[in-house]
Amino acid sequence: MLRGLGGAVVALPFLETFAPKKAKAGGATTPRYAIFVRQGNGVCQETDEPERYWPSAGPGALNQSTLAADTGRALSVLAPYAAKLNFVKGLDFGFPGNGCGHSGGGNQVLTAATVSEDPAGNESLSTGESIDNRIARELGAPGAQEPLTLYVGRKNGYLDEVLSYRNGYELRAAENNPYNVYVDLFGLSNQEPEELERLRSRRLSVNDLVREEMQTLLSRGDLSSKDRQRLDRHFTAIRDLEIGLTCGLPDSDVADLEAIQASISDDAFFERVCEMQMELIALSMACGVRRAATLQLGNGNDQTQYRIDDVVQKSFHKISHRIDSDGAEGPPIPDADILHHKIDKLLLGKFRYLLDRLEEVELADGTLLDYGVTVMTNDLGNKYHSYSDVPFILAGGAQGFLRTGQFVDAGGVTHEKILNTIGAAVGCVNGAGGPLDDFGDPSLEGGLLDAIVA
Amino acid sequence: MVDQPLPLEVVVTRNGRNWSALAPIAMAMVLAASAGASCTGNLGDPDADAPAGGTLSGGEGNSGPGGTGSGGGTAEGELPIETAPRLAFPRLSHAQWENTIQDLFRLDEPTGLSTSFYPDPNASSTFDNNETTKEVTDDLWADYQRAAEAVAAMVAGSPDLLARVNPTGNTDAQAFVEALGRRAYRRPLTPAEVDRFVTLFGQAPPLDVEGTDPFVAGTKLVIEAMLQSPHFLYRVELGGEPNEEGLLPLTGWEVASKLSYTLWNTMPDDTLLEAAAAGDLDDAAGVGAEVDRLLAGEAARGALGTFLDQVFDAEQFESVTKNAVTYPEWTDQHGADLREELRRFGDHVLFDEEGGVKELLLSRTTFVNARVAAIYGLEGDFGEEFEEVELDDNRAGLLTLAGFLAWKGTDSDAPDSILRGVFVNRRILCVDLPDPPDEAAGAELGDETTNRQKIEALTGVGTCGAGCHSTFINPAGFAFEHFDSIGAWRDEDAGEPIDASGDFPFAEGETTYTNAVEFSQLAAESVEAHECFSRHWVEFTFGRELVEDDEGIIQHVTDLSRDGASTKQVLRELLVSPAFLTRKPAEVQP
Repeated sequence: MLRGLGGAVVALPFLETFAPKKAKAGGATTPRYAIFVRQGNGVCQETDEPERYWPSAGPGALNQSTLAADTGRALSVLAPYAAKLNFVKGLDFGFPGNGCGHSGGGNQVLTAATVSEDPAGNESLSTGESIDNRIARELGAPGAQEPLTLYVGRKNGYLDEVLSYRNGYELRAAENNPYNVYVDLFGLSNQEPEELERLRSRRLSVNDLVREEMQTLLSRGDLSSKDRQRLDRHFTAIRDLEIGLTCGLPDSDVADLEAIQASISDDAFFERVCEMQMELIALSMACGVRRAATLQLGNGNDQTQYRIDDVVQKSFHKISHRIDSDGAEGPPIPDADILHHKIDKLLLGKFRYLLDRLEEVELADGTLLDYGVTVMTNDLGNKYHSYSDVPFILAGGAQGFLRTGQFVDAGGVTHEKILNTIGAAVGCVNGAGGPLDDFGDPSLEGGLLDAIVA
Repeated sequence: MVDQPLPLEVVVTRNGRNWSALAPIAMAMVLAASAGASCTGNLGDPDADAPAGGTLSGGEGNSGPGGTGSGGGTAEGELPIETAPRLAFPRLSHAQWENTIQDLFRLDEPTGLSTSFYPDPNASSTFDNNETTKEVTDDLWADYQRAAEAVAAMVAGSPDLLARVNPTGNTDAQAFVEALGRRAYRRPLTPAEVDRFVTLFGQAPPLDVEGTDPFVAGTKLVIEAMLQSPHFLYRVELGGEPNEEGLLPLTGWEVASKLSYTLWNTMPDDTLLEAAAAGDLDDAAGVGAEVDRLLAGEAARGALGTFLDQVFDAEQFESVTKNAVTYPEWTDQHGADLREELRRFGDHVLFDEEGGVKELLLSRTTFVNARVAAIYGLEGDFGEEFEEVELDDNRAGLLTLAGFLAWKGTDSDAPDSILRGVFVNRRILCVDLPDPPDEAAGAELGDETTNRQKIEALTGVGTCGAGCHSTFINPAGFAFEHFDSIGAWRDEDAGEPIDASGDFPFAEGETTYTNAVEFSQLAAESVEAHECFSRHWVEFTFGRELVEDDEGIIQHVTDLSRDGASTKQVLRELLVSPAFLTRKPAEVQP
């Protein structure tokens, strides 16, 4: 069962329509998916400070009890899922940033593409498509060829969303309001059939008129390529309403989503909004309305003030650099390394919350978690804006495509390999029809990360 | 590691051209090599290829408002005013959509529906009105559809609201379509468009709830469709016939929309639409008259009031926190107060006083409530309401307002002098500073006595940070050393007298000052500040990032600004220029 937003286990309407599908088809027809959760500011792994992230034991097989006891390491938080995990270290970004470590990391983490020369600094962009976009456009059903692009926390105009790229230089905005997400994806779930039919007919009439207007504009011979591209995208966005399976949440849960809208930029509600976004991602994957999703935790240089040990701390960005400034220099923050470690644990705890939601959905051949790949990553390796040893924590084996239950050191290879592996695991292919192995900048080696392929 | 003094050429941008100064720099060689620590910048060569352009308009145009005016040819040494490539289909921003709906249906207040629209990406520009990032994506299209249905249901379902857009009560479908269409599309509908909507109107009754009045059903469906039309969602700027310079002057209807969205952030009012219908916007004089009218309108204060807010990233003021032990008086409300102070300060300078760059950098008139007054040490009986006050002569202009100073302050009592200096360089003087090298992240200040001493020890002359810091960043930041972390005045730091003196390499020469007021006075006279604000205004009013073709118009208004032109005069000059009122044909666009 999928847990309801209020915390109670409820019978969700979608399960009633989902169940026959499960019984009839089993795993083979349930879409595989990929979810990417991104933490910012690097993790508290070994630098001039001691290791506090990767397990004490390994690389090697993960053991649940050993991992659970390894409380000095952040990844111990995920111990209950040991058998379904891949901890992958030794992955490096392939390219330097361009003036701003945070921005350059965000540009690359899901694209494996170079960072733009212009714009530069904190305004830099990726020059390539991101893997969530690739998965959605290649595998998504009509109407679901956009990835779900979500965000938790405040946006203030400085390094907001950084992850999802439609194409090079085309950054996709991220939605930080879970109510809007719900309405966008499941807003018609409470409509009566005759209402839906009337709506379908009205929309068809309006869409026909608007399409005619768009086609008249597109037939002009005096459009620049940029204008034509924009109108084309608009034209293809126009969709007629198809009445089929509908998913939704009980009214009380929708009311919770609606109520929290006023607090989505308040750090005090960060964790709850994060959970709601995760519940909506799980619902989307369970209902098959999306094939890929990203969830960005905090802004580009996450300035969230997390509550640790019952105290609202300085911004994570300052803690991550150990100084009381968002600049490069400042007075030291006492015990900042320990606080960083605790934030790593807190955010991994949220990741586990997502895994819990996916694990609760039972399908013919395992749980929903087993059907896809759910990833926790970072756009930096550590507090020094490092692009080496960027952590990739994978859960789920995509119906057996991935070998799981292990801690792997990839040995310092560039990270397009893991993006290829994730893409291939959920069904993406290369130009020759084989498993995706050429994602990212063409100058990179490409190929899969064999150590995690079953 | 041995620090060695190196003569390093420091290159910054001046007047759209690279400008160099030879500065004695001491730099740790290893970091200099690995981090590329020199300060360089380049906004393009304005002397490069010069495609067809016009001169400034003067009222004698004969080829539409973007035609060659009476200014004659370009004087020797001046950059020509050129028309840069731009989109013909800039999409309404979410704020513009909201304002337009309110005005189109003459609603008493905004619907609030745009708050649920899928956000536009964080643009790589100073302002949020960058048209190149605003597209109709799958998600936004669905939002537009839902919002159109909600607005249509609201208007058609209310006899009062329906009467506002159909005041005669005429139930003729064609009359309704033509009247609403002219305002929704910001131009008269073509006969084919009228036919399409009248046909749709007639289809409506069986598609609505049984028993619905046919006129109500028809208006509802027509409104749904009009609000999803590309002619509503985009400010279509296709232009008319080419002028003698090969440029396409915008039609009067297009000019009306462009002026209105630029200055009022909403659709044209009835007066502006009438001016377009009468042909008054077909020449520069007519455009200028409407610019003057719009600038005098209350709505201009709201639309242009976001300019300084965005130059200062003042949204971030509201996230500022301070150490409760050091500053127990700091509340969650202070950031919003200081943002409001900045808004009122700018509104007063730009509209009440009709000032310009100089006044922005030097005015001592500001607006405070009790919380803000306390920061300034003002005596008097202040409450929640903001009141106009004169600050003492230790302060002058934007850069000594507490909002900026507190935003660029640490959580403790120390000012963040480096971030203050970076901001002044980048946003006020448009010095193109690089970001610090990643290797420098997390550098801890030492245990020297004063804040200035700590920063100089870490980044000043003789350190690896000297290239940018000692020449540009630190001097600009230290000028504000008398202001603590919340922007309050202080005479001492750690028991030692404050040293706010410095030398800054303005284009007209290395210049010395002893405090923030003197620094602001120098900045107010500098070509850098006037040009920087000109760049900001061109980017803001043109709604896109700057390109090389913009250098001519930037130079022109910079010269006016230095000669004492007010911001209103600068804006007028921008909006009657061919750069604003013409477009390049598609075949010469990328």
